[in-house]
Amino acid sequence: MSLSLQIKVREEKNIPIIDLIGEIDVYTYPQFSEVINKVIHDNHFNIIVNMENVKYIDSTGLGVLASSANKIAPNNGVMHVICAQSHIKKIFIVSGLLEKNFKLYDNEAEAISSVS
Amino acid sequence: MPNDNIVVSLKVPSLAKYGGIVRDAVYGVALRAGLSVEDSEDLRLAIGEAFTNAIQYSYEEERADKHVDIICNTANGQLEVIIKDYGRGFTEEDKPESNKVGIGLGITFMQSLMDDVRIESALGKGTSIYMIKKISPKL
Repeated sequence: MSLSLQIKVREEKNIPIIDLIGEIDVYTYPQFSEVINKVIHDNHFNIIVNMENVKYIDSTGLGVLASSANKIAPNNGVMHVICAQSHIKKIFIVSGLLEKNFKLYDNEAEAISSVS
Repeated sequence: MPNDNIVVSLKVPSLAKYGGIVRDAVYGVALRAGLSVEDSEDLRLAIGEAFTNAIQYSYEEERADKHVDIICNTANGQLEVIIKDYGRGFTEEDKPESNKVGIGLGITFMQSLMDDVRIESALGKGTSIYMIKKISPKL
């Protein structure tokens, strides 16, 4: 069953990048929540979430992102999200999250350039 | 051939791990029914949200011994998908607020992405979510 979510955390120019591969839904969101909370706990307030290889995200996944964005907001943190797929972008637009401390990018180079 | 009537029924355990299978199955039906890729992706998300609601609200916890029915039916130029659980149901007064873990977006997504959404629920009998997506004629 292709129900998994793979997560890796790396750093580029001291900026944490969370690479996500797979689907973020009610089954997999706890994994994502655990990883992003650890990154925030390590005092990172500008975080890049790479969703280039995410096939699907629903409101539970967006809930994790929104909750994390709220945690970093007091430190002027921004959630930088890389996603090129139109159907994923549409979800962010419909959710209204882009009115908060979120920025979307088409690729990693754009995101790193904006953050650093 | 696109737009021929299609009827597909799925019965899956009331477990979160089956969400991906349900979404992929309905997405496949949508494409076969003649929906565009974009509309099929919209349907994938709406179905996922409906299934999540069934998992989160029908019982106190996930139940392998209970099931959720998913019925897809194309007729009259539209695809109707029904997500039906047999759990506790609710009344208008104690209507749940979308996803427990999400940010209250589950119902919003369904209503934004589908042409019509209707929810029927009866206390102690379960909940059915009816969603319709029109099949736009291809040029």
